[in-house]
Amino acid sequence: MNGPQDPTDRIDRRLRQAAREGRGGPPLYGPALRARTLAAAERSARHRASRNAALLAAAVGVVVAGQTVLTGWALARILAAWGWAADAATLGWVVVFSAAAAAGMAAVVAMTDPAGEGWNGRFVRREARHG
Amino acid sequence: MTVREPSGPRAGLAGDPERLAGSLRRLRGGDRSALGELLDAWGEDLMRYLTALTGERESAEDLFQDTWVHVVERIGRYDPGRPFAPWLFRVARNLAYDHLRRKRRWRWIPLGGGPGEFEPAEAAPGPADDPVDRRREAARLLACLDRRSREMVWLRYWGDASYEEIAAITRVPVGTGRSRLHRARKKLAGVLQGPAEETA
Repeated sequence: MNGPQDPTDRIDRRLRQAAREGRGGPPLYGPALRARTLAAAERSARHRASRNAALLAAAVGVVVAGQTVLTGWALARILAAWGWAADAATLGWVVVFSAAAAAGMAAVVAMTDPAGEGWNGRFVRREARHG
Repeated sequence: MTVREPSGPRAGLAGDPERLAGSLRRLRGGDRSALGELLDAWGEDLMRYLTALTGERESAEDLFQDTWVHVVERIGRYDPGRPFAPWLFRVARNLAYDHLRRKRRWRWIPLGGGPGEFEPAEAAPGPADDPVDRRREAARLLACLDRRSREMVWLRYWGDASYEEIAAITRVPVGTGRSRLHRARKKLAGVLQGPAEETA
């Protein structure tokens, strides 16, 4: 049984008292930390938005390029079936190159202007990295 | 600090479940102005908790910022049917333990003292009259415990957390939390009595 002189009771009381008094101590959270935290959250959100936009742009580029290749391939097959094999192969290569060019363009856009914000997007990322 | 929703003059947003739910809904919807309200409601408590866990104010401030960035990023995973505070403190705790694990890997030992740092226990502390002395005494006592027991004691007394809340934050069964706390109190009682009394 825990009596008033029980050491566990005594430690319980002392911890409660220290905690009560500790709450009255100097604050650890203030306006400067608040502002820094809000700025960090804002930077992180912007960084995430621009990263997602870059991924989306790259995905769209890949899909567009893939469709172009498939269309070219289908066209080449149709022309080949009609006996225009040489012309169809040439056309196929033209389509493949233009698809590669489209994918390249999409990648450049994704890297330089991911969120459609102009060059500001790059500054946002740099700011996020270096605080 | 209050792991449970605070009451009294400091309660504010945390003491008003409807306002809190509104702020959380706004944050989920992408309105980051709600973050300021949550910060003001739990900023002080969270900073004290992180300082107690890490023993350093600088690390605690870094972890504090990381915690809120995580909150913004992962608010979609928070179940609005459950209390917010244990979820918030668990996010902070996970980050703090990752940080402490990394630090241990590099075998970095903090030097010097600062506000909120635990001092190593020298001798069995005697009763103190001054509140500042009592705070120091409590810090010395807590330093006698291993990190996990210290955290439980801190959550129970400084955080005013229930056993269920402690279990939710530390991810241990309620019974385990209770028995760890009991063992910690027994150990502290032994320290308080001093070696002579302990062996007598």
